[in-house]
Amino acid sequence: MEIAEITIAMGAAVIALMMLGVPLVFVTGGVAVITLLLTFGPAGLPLIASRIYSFLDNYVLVAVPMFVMMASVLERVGVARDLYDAMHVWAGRMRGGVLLQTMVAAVVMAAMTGIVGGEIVLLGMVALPQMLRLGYERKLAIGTICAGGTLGTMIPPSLVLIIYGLTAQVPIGDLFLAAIIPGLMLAFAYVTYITVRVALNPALAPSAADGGGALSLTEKLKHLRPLVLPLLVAAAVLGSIYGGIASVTEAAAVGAAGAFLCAALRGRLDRALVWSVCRDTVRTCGMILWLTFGATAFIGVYGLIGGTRFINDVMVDLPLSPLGIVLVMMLVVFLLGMVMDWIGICFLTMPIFVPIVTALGMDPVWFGILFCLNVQIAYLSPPFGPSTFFLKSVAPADVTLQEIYRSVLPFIALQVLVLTAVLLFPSLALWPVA
Amino acid sequence: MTRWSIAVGEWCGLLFLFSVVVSAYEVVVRYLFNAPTTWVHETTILMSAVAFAVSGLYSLARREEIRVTVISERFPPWLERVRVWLTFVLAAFFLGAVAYGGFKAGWQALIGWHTTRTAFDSPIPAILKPLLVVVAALMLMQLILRLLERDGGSDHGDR
Repeated sequence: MEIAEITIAMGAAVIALMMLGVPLVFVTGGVAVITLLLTFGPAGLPLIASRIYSFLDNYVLVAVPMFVMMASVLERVGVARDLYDAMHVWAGRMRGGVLLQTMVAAVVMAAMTGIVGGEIVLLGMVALPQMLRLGYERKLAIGTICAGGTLGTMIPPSLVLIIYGLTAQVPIGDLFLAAIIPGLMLAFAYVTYITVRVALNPALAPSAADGGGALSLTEKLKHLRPLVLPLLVAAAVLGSIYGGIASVTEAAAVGAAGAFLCAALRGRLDRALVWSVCRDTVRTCGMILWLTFGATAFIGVYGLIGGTRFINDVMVDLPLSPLGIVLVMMLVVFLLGMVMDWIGICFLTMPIFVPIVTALGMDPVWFGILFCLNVQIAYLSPPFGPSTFFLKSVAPADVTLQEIYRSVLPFIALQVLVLTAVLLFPSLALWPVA
Repeated sequence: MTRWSIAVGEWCGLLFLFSVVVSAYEVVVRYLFNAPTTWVHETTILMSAVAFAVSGLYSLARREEIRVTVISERFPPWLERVRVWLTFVLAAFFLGAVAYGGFKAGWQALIGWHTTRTAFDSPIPAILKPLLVVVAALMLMQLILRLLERDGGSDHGDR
């Protein structure tokens, strides 16, 4: 068989099996092994284990469980909840205040932890019932929570950027720096959208009657006190990465240790907490790590049979400018994002795309930010939008998945807008790096 | 075995915790006392990698693999059976390849006690390579057990 035919066969098999509901790790891994057996025979088999081994033998990867652990501790000791409450007090009687407070809380949470599932579950449990009770328009409320919670993987520290950095061999500190402006642009776009919608149609959001506007400034400041230490920890993590003092892994370790310190100062550091945090970490890692094993096997086999070069030739032969090629790549990621998890997408496409991007003379850091923005879309876009599922799992029963899908559409449009802006003006991402 | 897999997985969480502790220790001694260690770097890699490998068994035992459920949730029973068997066949290929293909390298690394040949010279290959083989084999066993369970490994009704 020609490589073009193999490519189509492998792609079709992966998509069909995935839609059938076979776990992604076995889809990618199984298809990889079968392809390997058909092309090279059993002699090629050691490749699979050796690829997984060399992937595991990596210091940056250690940062992943550490960030997960940090997030889990902060979430379990109630920091996110305190944050939300504090924002509530500060938002006061502003029209649409709860929406904006949710968004601001989501951004700060994203900088502290960056685990999308945890953020959306929390906001869905705390903010959504409150907004529905106060008479906020349902779709705006739902969309705000989904889009805001998803920012977790855009604003550093971000697992998406760490995994991208690993696959693309790009310094993660640079990626974190480059993500700041696009991440804030997203948040700013959401806030603007909410403000404009509410200003045009005041019926969408009541001016909060039970807000904390009546509290004195000292009262308001008091609500910030439990947040000081967690914010310091977050600042220490990002500061030491940006300052070039510590590697990402060390910064993550400091963050996790700091999170445990917060727990201790709140009198919550006990055996039960440590156990549940460890369990969270193993769960999260178990789910995502083996997925990457399957994908790394897949892309290894595909490279071995000449597929990477084939895609490279196809892409370069397209009658398009370099920017057009990047646009095609983004379209591929977007389409995959509708049905697939971002880790799978990252490991399947980036080993092929990044060398092409670099060969075309473009910056892989910038491309990583584009990918990360695209992952934001993937989190929301149906039918497989993890954020929508997270919210559905905690939302009141009368909130249907269809309603959530419709609610996130305007926010997806805003994400596309920001993605386009960064695509056309790379300096939005690269300016802090240089 | 399911319970055993889960227990081992949870103990592995402590390896992550330990990595955090020693890495934080390294940062402290290096920046505060200017006395970097040689062992932290490789020890954390080893501990995390071991936990990563075992965590696959854990999530398999808990049936928490990432997959697209939107469509398969509405499958009629016969199609759900097809899905379960397809999962098993593909998993058998993948895990079998990891176990079988990695066996020789793993055995050599273990017997020869291969080390990283660095300042600390830790036995990462000697531990990790055979471990991957063992975990892959155990995961395959776990999947066979799942097929034998009363619901035949169907995910209908347990979510």
